[in-house]
Amino acid sequence: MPDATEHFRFVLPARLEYRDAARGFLDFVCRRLHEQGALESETAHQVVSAFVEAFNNAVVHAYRDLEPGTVEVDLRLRAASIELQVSDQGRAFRIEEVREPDLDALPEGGLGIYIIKQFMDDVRYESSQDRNILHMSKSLLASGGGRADG
Amino acid sequence: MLTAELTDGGETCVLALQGSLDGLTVAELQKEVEGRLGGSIRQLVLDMSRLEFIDSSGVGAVVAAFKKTRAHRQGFLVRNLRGQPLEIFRLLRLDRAFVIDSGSGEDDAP
Repeated sequence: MPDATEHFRFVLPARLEYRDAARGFLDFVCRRLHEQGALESETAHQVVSAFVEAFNNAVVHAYRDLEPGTVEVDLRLRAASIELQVSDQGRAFRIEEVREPDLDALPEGGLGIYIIKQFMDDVRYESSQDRNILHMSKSLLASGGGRADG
Repeated sequence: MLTAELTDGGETCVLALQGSLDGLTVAELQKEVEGRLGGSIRQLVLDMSRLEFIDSSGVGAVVAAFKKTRAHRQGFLVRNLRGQPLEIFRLLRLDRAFVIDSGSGEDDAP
């Protein structure tokens, strides 16, 4: 099956007030996928939640004590999945060293990466000299017949 | 954005949340909760029927509100949780920590 991809890209200032520009678009895309039967409403909420946490991390952690740069958001709609990349040029972190929160202790912070990992099917983080990229993907429902065009 | 209303002869304070509860808006909730601790209020209710979105910062503010009201021997209730906030609360198992009245709005379109 050809893996036709729709690609959308946002380059936003690394400030929280710009996050909802991309979130609003992602909401629109998820609603459309839901109407096509490719995404349950709960799954749509999960994808949007994961995106917001990723954007927050870039703004609040990657650029902490640094001159704020940009956050680049790449959204790719494939036949069987929705993929998100959130990139920054700030400080990198080691995702494998982020500890899972003790939910019984009712933590008030440290939940972002946990939410991302729990809500998305695949999560990868890569860091090079000039860029950190968080990759996230979520499978679409086969019952939606794959993503409909138009 | 939130609105506050006193009911039950002033013993219950209902904070109705609206829109998004996130890093940009939590300060409003935190300030309102601080002002309702102790005194004659016996229960704090967070009404989330018009809350469309919550992130981990917002969850942190709700959990902090729960802990503070408990420390002041006040009741704490989350009401009308639905949509994306419900999904987050389920994941973080917050329904095990405090009373949640989900009303009738279980699931809705994104």
